[in-house]
Amino acid sequence: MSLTDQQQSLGIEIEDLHLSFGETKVLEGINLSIPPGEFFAFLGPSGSGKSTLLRAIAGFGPDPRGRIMIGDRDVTRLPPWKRDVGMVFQNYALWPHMTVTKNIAFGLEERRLKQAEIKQRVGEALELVGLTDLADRRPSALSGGQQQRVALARTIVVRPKVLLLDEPLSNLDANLRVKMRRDILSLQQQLGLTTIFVTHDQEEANTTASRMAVLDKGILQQVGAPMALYDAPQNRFVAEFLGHANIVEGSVLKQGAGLVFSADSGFELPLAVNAEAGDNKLLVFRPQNTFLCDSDSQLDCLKGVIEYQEFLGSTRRYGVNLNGQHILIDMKHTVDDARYQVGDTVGVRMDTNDTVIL
Amino acid sequence: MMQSGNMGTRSLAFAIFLFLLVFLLIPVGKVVFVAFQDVQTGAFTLVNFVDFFNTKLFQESFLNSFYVASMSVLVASIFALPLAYFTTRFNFGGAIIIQTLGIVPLIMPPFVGAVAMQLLFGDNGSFNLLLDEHFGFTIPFMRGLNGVIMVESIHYFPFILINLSAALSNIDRSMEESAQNLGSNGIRLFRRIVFPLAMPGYVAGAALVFLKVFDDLGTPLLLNVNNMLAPQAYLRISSIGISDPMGYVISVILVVFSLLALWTSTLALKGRDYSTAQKGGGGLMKRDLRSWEKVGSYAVILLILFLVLSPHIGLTLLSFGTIWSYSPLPDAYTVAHYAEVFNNSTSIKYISNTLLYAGLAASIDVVIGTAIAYIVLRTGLKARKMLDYLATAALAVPGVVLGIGYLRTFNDFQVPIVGKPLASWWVIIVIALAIRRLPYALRACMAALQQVSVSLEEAAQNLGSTRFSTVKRIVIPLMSGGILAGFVTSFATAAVELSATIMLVSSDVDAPLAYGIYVFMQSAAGRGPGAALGMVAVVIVGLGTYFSHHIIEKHKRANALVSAGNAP
Repeated sequence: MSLTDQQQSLGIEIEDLHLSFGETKVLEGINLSIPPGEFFAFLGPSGSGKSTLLRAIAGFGPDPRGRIMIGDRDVTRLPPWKRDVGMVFQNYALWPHMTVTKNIAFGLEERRLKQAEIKQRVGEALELVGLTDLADRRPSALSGGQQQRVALARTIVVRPKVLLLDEPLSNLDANLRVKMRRDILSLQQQLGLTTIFVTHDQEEANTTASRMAVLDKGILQQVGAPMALYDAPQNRFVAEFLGHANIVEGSVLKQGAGLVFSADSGFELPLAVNAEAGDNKLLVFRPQNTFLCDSDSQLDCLKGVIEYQEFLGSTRRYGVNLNGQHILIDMKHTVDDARYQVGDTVGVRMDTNDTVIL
Repeated sequence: MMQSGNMGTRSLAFAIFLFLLVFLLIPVGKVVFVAFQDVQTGAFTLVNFVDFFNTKLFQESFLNSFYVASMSVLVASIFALPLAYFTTRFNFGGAIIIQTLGIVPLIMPPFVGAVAMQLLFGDNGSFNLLLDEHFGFTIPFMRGLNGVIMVESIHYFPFILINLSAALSNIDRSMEESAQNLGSNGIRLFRRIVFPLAMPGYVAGAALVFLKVFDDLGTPLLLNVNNMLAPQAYLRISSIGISDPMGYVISVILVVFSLLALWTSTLALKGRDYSTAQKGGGGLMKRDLRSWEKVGSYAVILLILFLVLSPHIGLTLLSFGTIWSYSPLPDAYTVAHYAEVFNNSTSIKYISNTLLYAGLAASIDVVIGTAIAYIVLRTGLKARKMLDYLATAALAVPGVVLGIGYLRTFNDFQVPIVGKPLASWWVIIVIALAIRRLPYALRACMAALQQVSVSLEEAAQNLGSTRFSTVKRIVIPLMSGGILAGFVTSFATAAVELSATIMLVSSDVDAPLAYGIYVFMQSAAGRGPGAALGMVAVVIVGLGTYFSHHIIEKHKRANALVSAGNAP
């Protein structure tokens, strides 16, 4: 059996997991179900508990309350070395006193495999990550990207049941990051391994994960496919954390057959989306679904004043004051888009289909 | 600010080089030269070495020195390993005791404790008397070479403890976690990951212990173990005379082994960067002790603590005891020994000489140390590294060898006005102490200057300050803490140095404390006063150590402010 032969992959079930460092609660009531073979991401700001959750699955850190199942095995109380969970550390954690080969062979030696088999599997792993030529180097003689590959090879060579990646790209420079994330994704697909990827970078999560979990303050905020989370955030944190969002406080009122959003700052807007009428609602819309228009052109235009503008390359971003409410508007950049200036009174229009009411 | 040196720094560097040339290179070179010289004809010969290795006593001495140094490393490792492991791996209160353990033995020169150790652990010492009385057998802790090993390993184990603890705590926790993740745990994990990563620190400490023990003269002399290399060198020169080639041959062997040990330690430390190269979790994984483990750990720590403190306990008892022989404790207690010491003009002279010599030597050290640090770190002078190496090489020159070298080189040099040879003038003792302790002061000054941001100097120069004025008004004030710490370290260790001074003391009036203790300890009646003098030495070194720690800590805090203010 070679490394890339599809192995039986196992799912991960996390049930009501609580974890604290002394008095500080780090994880609270996490429930999560990751089916076999999925590429899953934990996304959250630093201190959100995403790394702690990953480490808990690998068996590191304080003992949690709740249950962690891998396949149908309860691993909650197992020590790290009995879990068969492969983890790639953020700093790669390559042992500097061993060569690349020795590093990769380590886990196999710990499993007391025969020398011949170790040799063969190490060779395959090296080939898989394209480092056969560097087999006898020490980690200190490798570049960041190469070290990352060794760390990956060292982990997958033992054929773990699941693969955990702790911010695997954070120590690489921008170009390499894009290449490595594609490589990791294709490797994952070849191996068919259930994989969890921790990151604070939403682009990384969006481009690789089939589903992701957004965490904040130790609480699971929302789980779903990246696009679903972006388009339909369930709360303010998710809306603001994924991309830029304009958020307006107000209430939803019934008006005839339709609904209107009445902002606390004074303007009203007819709604095209479904929502329940009530107070204390949030209107969420994205800067790129919001447009500037001439202040006297259309009826459904709101009036605002441009406070600042930033050139972002493909887009130009305007900060507009709408009755005291600050909103962002991204307009596609064209050569002649200099017609709106700071201080101008402008019309603001939003795509009412692309709004969310929370 | 790496400009090549101007005239000022150039001549400063040259002056320092001249000093090191005259008082380090030439004397040691002379010793090596004489070792290869035919006594009659003065021609080059290897016959002295052939004689050396054909003489039974020397063969034995060589093997003994080697054996004692190796065994001391082994025994010191046995003390240090569990302690280093406890402090770095577990959360428990004993860590503070262990840290203190790292300092306590060093505040007493080994030879001072040697006699006290004999009274506690010797064949007729307290411990064996009790053992014999209750169980009918004795353990020869202090018999012959065992005594030297015991005293030296108790004294020097902190070197291993400090280095090993530092190395262990530099290992990133992810190193260990990744191994666990791949299925490794327990002893196997320790053996395959933790220990290899800590190895450089251990080897560096162990090499230092080997070097120190191999070169030590005072301890074997006081324990009356003469069939070792350093005592043989001393005895040949002091009894047969300055022209006996054997003393020189032994010196060469001592220097070669010291250089080897130093080289090993440098090599080991070169690979050390890998323990700190990878950042992340930080620090070895710590865990809480279970209650039975706690009991066990404290038992081990208390046992080692007792052993480590025994020279101090013994010396205190000896200095206050009336008669102490063939009994577990002294018959009665008195302050008579202290009265004797403080009423005796010779012993007062010992103390004042010590303060004078050590004070002068330490002053020379910090002046040269600061100058070398500045030249190495702040100028582009071509030979700057050489000054550093040269000054550091003094570590590898045993006191006996330096003493012999001075005797041989400066015996014919008459000091004008004083009217006696430089080799028997008291100033030569100061110079010997200064050369021997220069590496310590140099390290302290280097560390201090490394913490001073170059931009602080550039700011001064930008505002019109000259190079000299910048050094005076910015560099030296900012380095002052480190310089002071270097002074105190040099002072405290110079105050109890015996191996070079014992060769160079030409009359009792010129002798320092260490020599006085040695003279007192030679006779049974002198042991009490000798111990009282020893206590004086311990107090001097103890206070010095305390202040240098205090100063270093204060300096660290002050510098933290400086560097925080200069963060990019």
